[in-house]
Amino acid sequence: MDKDLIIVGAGPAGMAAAVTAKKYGLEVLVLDEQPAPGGQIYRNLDRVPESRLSILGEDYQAGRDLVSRFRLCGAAYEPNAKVWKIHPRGRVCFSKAGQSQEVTARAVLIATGAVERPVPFSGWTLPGVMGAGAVDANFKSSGVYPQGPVVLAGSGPLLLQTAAHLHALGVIINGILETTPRQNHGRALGRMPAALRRPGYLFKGVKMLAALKRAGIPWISGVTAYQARGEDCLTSVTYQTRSKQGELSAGALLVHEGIVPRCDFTRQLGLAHHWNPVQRYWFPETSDLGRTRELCIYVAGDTAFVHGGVPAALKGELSAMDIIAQLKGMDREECETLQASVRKKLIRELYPRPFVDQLYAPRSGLYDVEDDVLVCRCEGVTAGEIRQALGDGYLDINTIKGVTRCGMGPCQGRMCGMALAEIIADHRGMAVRDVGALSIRPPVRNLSLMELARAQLEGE
Amino acid sequence: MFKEFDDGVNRAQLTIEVDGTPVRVPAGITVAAAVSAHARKNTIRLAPSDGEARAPFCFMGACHECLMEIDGIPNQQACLMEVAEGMQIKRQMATPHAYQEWKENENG
Repeated sequence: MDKDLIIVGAGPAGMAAAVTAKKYGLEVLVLDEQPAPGGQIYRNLDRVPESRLSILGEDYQAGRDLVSRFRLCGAAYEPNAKVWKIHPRGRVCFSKAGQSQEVTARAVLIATGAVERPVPFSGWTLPGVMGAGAVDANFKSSGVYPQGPVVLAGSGPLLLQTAAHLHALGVIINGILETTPRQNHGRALGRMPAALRRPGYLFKGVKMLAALKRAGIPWISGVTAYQARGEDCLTSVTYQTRSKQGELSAGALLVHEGIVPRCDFTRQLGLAHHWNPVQRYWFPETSDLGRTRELCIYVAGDTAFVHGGVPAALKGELSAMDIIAQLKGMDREECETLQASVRKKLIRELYPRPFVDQLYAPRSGLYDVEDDVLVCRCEGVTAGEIRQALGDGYLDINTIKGVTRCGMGPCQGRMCGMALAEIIADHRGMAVRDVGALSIRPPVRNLSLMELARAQLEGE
Repeated sequence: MFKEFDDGVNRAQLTIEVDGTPVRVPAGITVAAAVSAHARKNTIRLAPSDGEARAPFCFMGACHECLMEIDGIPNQQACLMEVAEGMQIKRQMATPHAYQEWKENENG
């Protein structure tokens, strides 16, 4: 064994787990595909110029302490390292600077976080159409932002946050197309009392919303669909509500339809997954300590369930403590006391979550993708071709992948997998959870055959 | 499409080459940001499937729309790589039928 613990991902969960595990003397290796620690929420935090901090605000800077503790904790840390296979017995293959190697450990913690839910719509492949969180992430790491005019579309706290950042940057926002259905407000109301136990959280959202409305940014709610228009790049955005339709000119369209766990490795490992019916995503089956059915494999942070950055760090700590207890035999009483205090913090952090999840639950009709719209961006497969395959009698999601090539390009189904399942479910009149998901096989990242041939691997 | 934020400090600069043209960019930024913001390219690649213009969508390693040839190695995820002095970057515009179409468009 090279290490006690390999952590995949240096976001809040991975960093917190590394700090905790090092404190108790574990040999830790952290593999992360980004050039700097922080994950998406705290991306580039300890290298970002001071001037950007006022734009990015408190929630970003809140990670400063964690990032610096991670830098100093003594864990071996490999940035720019793309993991492409995790073996259930603790062997991890990764590629760095064009070379692949294998490392082994007694435990592996998957902390790969979450991504913005990709949803196909007409024109979504046009240059100028991007994720809202994507634009924020790009600003953190590279200090660039869309020059505008910008239109934002979708639903969720991140949409507001990006709008607020762009407004602070002086970017002209031609409109915010909000797709949150009105019924969600009623459904979320029942979750309000719990959320009010953390009033600060809700207040932040209300303040952000008020500031954007005060700034006179056109706010269109009740949007049921939107489309990107243009020849070689985006020029305008069209939208519909129940009572009207409109068109806004735009140099950039930033979309956000929520956040979903990044399940590539939990799928590659063949772990059991559960369906979140409110937020419509799969998440791996874990205990509250992040244990899975594979003894060596743990999952923490947003990969386990989307809770956000602060809870992710706490979940990382909990998993690390359990791993320490398993590997080093930490005093049971000490371990339980420590875990209890972290759990208490976690419970407090999660009070607003059911409210937020219900309020920003994906709208019905989110995946009503028209026949001529590309679902698979890599292989150029339209929704019509998928429905054609279904009509021809191919019913299984992985068979349809084989027949249409949907999900077989370089992104390996990351962008189309969820939509593919939803389209199949809708066409067959069944629940998405019964459709299942695309099979994910290693290498989970693109490798050249030369790199694979030269790799130093233990093999089976 | 993208603008550079004025960080108010003199950031270290370096020179990269984008499709053969030298471009000065701040150190520490990603190749995807350098090409879209500093080299001012709206189109980052042409989709091999149909020759359509594409650009980064997710900026976090998922969408694979930022694939570029970097220092002679094709299909690199440019949003995960930082610029380096003298880096040779080429946009991937060479799908056979797409290249012809793109050339005609560029020449008006």
